[in-house]
Parts: sequence; C-alpha cells; structure tokens
Amino acid sequence: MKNALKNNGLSLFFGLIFILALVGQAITGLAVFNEEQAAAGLEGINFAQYVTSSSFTVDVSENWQSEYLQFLLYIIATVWLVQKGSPESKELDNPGIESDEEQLIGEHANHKSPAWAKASGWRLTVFSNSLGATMGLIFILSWLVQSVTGQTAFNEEQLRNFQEPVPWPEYLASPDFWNRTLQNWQSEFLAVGSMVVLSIYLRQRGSPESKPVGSAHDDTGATG
Amino acid sequence: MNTGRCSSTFNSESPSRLLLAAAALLVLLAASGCAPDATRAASVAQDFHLAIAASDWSAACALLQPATREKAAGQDGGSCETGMESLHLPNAGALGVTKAYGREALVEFEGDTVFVAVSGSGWLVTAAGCTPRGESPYSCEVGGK
Repeated sequence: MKNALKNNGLSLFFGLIFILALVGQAITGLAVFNEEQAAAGLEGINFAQYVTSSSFTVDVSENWQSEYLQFLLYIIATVWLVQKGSPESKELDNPGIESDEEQLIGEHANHKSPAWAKASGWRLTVFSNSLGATMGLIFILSWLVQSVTGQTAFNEEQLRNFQEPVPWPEYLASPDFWNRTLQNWQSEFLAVGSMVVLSIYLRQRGSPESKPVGSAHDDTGATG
Repeated sequence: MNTGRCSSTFNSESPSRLLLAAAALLVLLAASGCAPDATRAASVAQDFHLAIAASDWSAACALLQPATREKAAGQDGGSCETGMESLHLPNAGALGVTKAYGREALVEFEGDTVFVAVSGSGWLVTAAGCTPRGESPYSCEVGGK
C-alpha cells in the first residue's frame, strides 16, 4: 500500500487537488448563482441542485475542453515542430513519427512492450496514436457538453431577464459561446508557449520538465 | 489477491479510464441536465389565465412569484387582487410552444406570453401579458422588468 502511494504520488496529488478545487468551485458557484436568483426575486437552490445544473456543468466543461485541447495540440505539435534549447522539444534533426526501431514497435518491440506495440495493422496504428486520440475525444466531448449546457445556462439567464431564448445552432454562433471558449484557449496557449520558451533559459533542479541545471541554453531535448 | 478490474491495485490504465468516466459523467449531466418539467410550467400558465378569465383575482395572485405579486400590488399600498383587477390582460387563446431552460420557462399562447420560474416543488408566474421587443426584454403588464 505504501509502495502504491509512493509510486503513484504524482497522479494522486493532482487527483486530490482537482477534487478540492472542484468542490471549492461548486461552493462558490452556488453562492454566485443564489445571489443572481435573489436579485431577480427568486428563491435560492441547494448544493445538490446546483452541481446538477447547467450553470455548474458549463463552468466545469469550458475549462476541461481547453485543457484537453492544450494537451492534444502539444502532443501532436511536438511530433513535428521543434524548439531549439527547449527540454519540451525533441532533437532538432529528429522531427516526425520516427522509425519503428526508435519507437520499439513491430519486430523491434521488446518483451516488456505492450501487446499492441508488438502487433501490426490497425491495432498498432490505434495504440501508436492512443494518447492524442484520447485527449482529442475528451476535448470534443467536453466542448460538446459546454455547448449544450452553455445554451441552457444562457437561456435560463435570458428568461430570468424576460428575454427570448436562442436555439442551439444559434447559440453556437453566439458571443457567449465563443467568449467562454476563447478566454480559456488563450490562457492555455500562453501557458504552453511560456513553458516552451522559459525552459530554454530557466531551470528547476530535479524536475523532468526542466533541463539539468548545468545544461547549455542551446541544449535541446534534455530532461533533468 | 488481485480480483480484477475492481481491485484497488493501481495500474497504468486507471487514470485514462477515470478521465473518460468523468467526461462521460459530464455528457450524462448535460443530457439529463435535470431538465425542467415544461408540461407543468405550461399548466401553471394555463391555470393563471383561467383564473384571469374567471375574474378570480386571488387565485391568479396565488400563482404569482412573491416578487411579482408585490409588483402587481403597486406602490400605493393596494393588494395584488386590486392591482390585477385594474389590469387588462389579453385573452390567452390556445396554448402554443413552451420553452423551458433550467429553472425558467416561457409559455406562449395565441394571444399572450407568460414567464414562469421554479418555486419550491412547482412553478409560479414571474410575468404575464408580455409582448416581444426584439432583443430587449419583453414588455409585460404583470411583473417583468
């Protein structure tokens, strides 16, 4: 048990702070929602009603979709694009999907390689792209959820203000949908871009996200 | 002993399965969305108009949200019933489309539009006698902006 905790410390740590942050978002979101209800002369709702509401779900999903888009783009872009001096980049002369030998697949797989890495055909293709595909699937699902719950939350506010609700296709072209989307995208793209560039010149001793402290600034692809 | 997929043993596939499960949960929440009961919303709007048609002002006032009831009473200290009697709400006519989102709904009749909102376990009227004004809020005889 102790070993299991130690060996999975990173995922457990992020899982825990994710849950704490989500609960905090739910508590503060409920307070904001009930303030708006009170301002309109309507009664407040309880915690269970709020966490199953469109207002809460759209706030959660709009952040989820942007995070998964960020990682999807990063996973795919780093296959083909390189950045001199960045530990986030591959070596400058090695862009692309690399050889079977470098990727330990097919006849180059070893006895510890996953079964589908030793396979050929569609199973190898699927497994070779499974990380990006899963991130992409979660991104699409989260964005879809954002659009559906965003329309409901938007229309609920429209009706609270005695205004006409809008159908889903119209909501997809609305400023509300794209403002929610783009305000998340820009922050994700900035954070990734900053990481790529700052890690050229700055170090964090012991972190695999950084180069070793003594590495040269133009040393590309090294991790410490 | 490893008892299979429900085992507490950690494995490398768990995080991605958890993420997919969480995404699926979000989809389910979106699909169910705790969808409001549009039929009951329409029914309350119909009852309101039936009360108006019968000049049963106290029944009509009982179907208003508290804040709307206060507005209907006016600022001169009169009652909701007196306020309602002095208004000339249009005849509703046949029930049309109901658009319900979250805790709010708009009920369209042939001759009127009524706004209702969830109150307790049911729905109450927030505005009636409403006419559209483009993208601006509806103009309403009872309640509204």
